[in-house]
Amino acid sequence: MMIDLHNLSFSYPNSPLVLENINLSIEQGEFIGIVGPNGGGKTTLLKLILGLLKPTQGTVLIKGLSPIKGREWIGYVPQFANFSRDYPISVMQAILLGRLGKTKRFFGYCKTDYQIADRVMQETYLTDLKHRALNTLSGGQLQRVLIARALACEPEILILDEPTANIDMRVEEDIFDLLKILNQRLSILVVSHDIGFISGYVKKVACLNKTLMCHSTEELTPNLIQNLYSNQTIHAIQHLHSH
Amino acid sequence: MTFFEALSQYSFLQHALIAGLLAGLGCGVIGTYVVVKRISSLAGGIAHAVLGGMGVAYYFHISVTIGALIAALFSALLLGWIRLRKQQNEDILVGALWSTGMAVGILFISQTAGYNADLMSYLFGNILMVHVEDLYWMMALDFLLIATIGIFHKQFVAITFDEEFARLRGVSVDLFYLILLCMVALTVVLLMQVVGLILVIALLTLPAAIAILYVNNILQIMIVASLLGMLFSGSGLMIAYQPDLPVGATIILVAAIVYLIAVITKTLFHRKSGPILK
Repeated sequence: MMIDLHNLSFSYPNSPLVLENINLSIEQGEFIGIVGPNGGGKTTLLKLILGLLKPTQGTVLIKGLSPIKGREWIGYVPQFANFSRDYPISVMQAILLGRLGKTKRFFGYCKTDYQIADRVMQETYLTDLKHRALNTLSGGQLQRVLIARALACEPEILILDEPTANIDMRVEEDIFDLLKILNQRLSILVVSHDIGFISGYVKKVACLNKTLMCHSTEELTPNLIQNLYSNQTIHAIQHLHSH
Repeated sequence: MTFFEALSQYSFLQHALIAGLLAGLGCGVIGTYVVVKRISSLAGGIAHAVLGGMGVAYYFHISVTIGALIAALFSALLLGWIRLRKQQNEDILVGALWSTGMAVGILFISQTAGYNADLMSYLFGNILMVHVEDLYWMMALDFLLIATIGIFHKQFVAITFDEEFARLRGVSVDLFYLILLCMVALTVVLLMQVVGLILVIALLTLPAAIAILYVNNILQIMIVASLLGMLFSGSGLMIAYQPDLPVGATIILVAAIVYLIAVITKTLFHRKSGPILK
């Protein structure tokens, strides 16, 4: 078992529940997508898994350990908004940051760190961009750098928060094709509000709107979506489908 | 007598030049983090609050530099602690600390018996009054700053680039943030000898801000910014000598003019390369 959520509930102080009684198990080799409307608790759930928030009730276990200890095995790919895109750093140096926690504590990086960085850059087709500054990259390239940085942690599970929020459709496919290859050796958890696209790739979809429902991708029907999204959102989705 | 003739003859001028170079070194290294982490207003708060410590030290006849150091570290830790607790509006607290520190300083200085002309040199610096002992102080501070950065460079890049990711990788983000603020505080004291506490912020940020326009790597930015910092102090001193201008203000104006030219040149000739698709 990679990740185990048991009777998990969460509320911010003096506020109603954001998440209620969530149960979810992610096995090794799984590729699971969590979808749901904005404000449905997706980001909160991720923060609980990563140990950045403490559950109000219930438990989070990562490989049987608490999130603080178990997150060593997690490669996390944040949303673009979480850091400054203008930061003066090269692709290589950004990826090396994934080695923190594994590399020596003082001074620079070791030889192994550079070897691992080279390897993950090959995996993510970034070798040619190695010395490029981060602020000259396109959205898709930047997304691949973030994935490479997470891979540099040598994780067993990859967690991605809205990986396609800032890139166009064509690049989106590239990213998911890359994830499909990575899924051969890693478990993957993707959080997205983009329900239509994600279902073509993942093996299992969990719909999150305060509570969680889990389905294999074949079972995902408009009816089900209707239960989870507000009416307004459904119109948008049905409109999309009619084209 | 030209500047260079005077330089070879007067030790006070030599001391001033060395002080300028030492200050330039520190401002380039720490200023780079201040610029990329966007904490210049925080640094400004620390710089002005320092007057409180100086005033108290002056009143009790202790070394003013020690008073400044204690006040700088105290305000850095206070601001850092408040930010980490996220309980108050950081912006307002920076402003409050800024003015309160100065108010304390002015009160104590006003109550000190004797001649009060020193107030101006705290506020605007007096590089020509730098003593040899000050130079040793400055050298020690520079060494401390550069050694800390050298040892923990990875961690500082991690927390200034992406705090959340750094935390997930087991970096003690809060601790390194506080250390960073303390280093900013030490740099403020270092630069104060040269340009005074009111002008510190410009010297702390402008060299790094210029470097960042043309270089895309933290270490290179630090080196370029340090060289620029030294160049600004040196040339400011030189320009100010003949017409007997205030040195601190001249240094800042030199830095500001170069910054302006750098920004204009950049926009005209080197349009920042936007996203390049392969």
